[in-house]
Amino acid sequence: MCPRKKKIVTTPSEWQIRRNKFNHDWLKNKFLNSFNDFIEQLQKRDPDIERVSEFLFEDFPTWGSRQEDAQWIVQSFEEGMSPRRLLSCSPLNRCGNETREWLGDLVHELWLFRNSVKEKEKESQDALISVNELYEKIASELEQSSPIGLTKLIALSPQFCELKGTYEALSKTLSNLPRYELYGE
Amino acid sequence: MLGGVQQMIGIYDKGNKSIKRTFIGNIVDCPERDLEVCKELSELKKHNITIAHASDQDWQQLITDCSSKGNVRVRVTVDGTPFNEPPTDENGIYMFHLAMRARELSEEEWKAILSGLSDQKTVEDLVRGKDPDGLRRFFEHEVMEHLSALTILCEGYLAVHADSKNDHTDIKQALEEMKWPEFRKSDRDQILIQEDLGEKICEIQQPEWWSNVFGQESFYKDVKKEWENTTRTEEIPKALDDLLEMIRASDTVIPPKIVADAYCVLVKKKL
Repeated sequence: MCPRKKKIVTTPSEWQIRRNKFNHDWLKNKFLNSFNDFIEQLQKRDPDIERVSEFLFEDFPTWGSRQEDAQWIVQSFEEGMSPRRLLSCSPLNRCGNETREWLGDLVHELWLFRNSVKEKEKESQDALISVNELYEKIASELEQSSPIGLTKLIALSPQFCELKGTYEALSKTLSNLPRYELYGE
Repeated sequence: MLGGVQQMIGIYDKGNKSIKRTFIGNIVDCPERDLEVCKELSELKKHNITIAHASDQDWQQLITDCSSKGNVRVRVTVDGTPFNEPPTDENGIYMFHLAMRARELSEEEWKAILSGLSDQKTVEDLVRGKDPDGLRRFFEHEVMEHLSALTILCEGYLAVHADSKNDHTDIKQALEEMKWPEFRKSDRDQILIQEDLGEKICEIQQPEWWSNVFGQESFYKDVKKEWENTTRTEEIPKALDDLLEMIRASDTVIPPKIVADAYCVLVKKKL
């Protein structure tokens, strides 16, 4: 039996929830799995047309709506996870206003430095740009070739592989952004 | 036991067949009769209690198509951010989300969870917001607001001391933990940090530096509880206890060494 312990209950930051839903639930466990399957199909002698079509017309276009999530996660990270936000919450919000200001600035800058936050933000931003650029390029080719045949898709395999690689890199940079909200770890 | 009958618990880990390869396999040394690994979601129907590492889609399918009134369904994460959804009862199905990563639990903790979920009253108490046998912490997230606040106050205190004309020998190790010397040499400190940081020495030496934040009588108990819950140990380290006692005394100037030693403990604690 576990010893009885009283609980202090609250919720993880919005940033962590959104990052998890995007990176873990959707990008890694849904989209990239489908993408892998799609590329494998293109490399087969006899690809499953239905699976290829399913990815191309159902999964691939979803990036359009998802990239906004990715953008938000990258842009909101610093504000969402900085220890400075704790100065607005109990119990530190009991400090005087002036103290909260200089102390907030101090711990924020220390946190940026110790965790190489700016560098990690830039990595994520660059990774997202790479995804978007290549995605737009492929999407444009697909549109110009519409209706697209299997031969053309197979010819685009290297580009699809490259795009998959950029998604994987993006996922990795998002995972590298510190994920805990307990300051002091 | 749920319903007075020993429950065979269904385990689902995204199609893994062998219990050793599931999220629970390396941890729990249970007889095979207590846990059954299910490869397909549909196999979970026969289990009153199920613990699943599943995608959103599979979890939805588990609840909608493979569960009925009175069933207990627990969702876990292995690598993702732990869930923070309190236990609920939806149409008679008891739903739990593990608030920590499955592999972070010890064998003893898993056994306590499995035992608790096999008991009807425990399940109902959890859903009603109670904390039977200390199990609630596995299903609800907590933020260490007091420990975080204490860490921040210590950092402010130590940074001001470091920039003041006072001797720094006693706080050298803590400053290294803070990476203060490197920070002060970097570009970043030029941006926001006030040049007169050291002149705030009077402010941080006052008892109010601590008592403004930790003025309530319950703060000592609250910090102690957070420490126990965070580190899963019963004892609060002496260095931290010394600081808390001096804050509680509230009328003395706290020496830098006390703050420095407590800070080192705070930043090295295991989560």
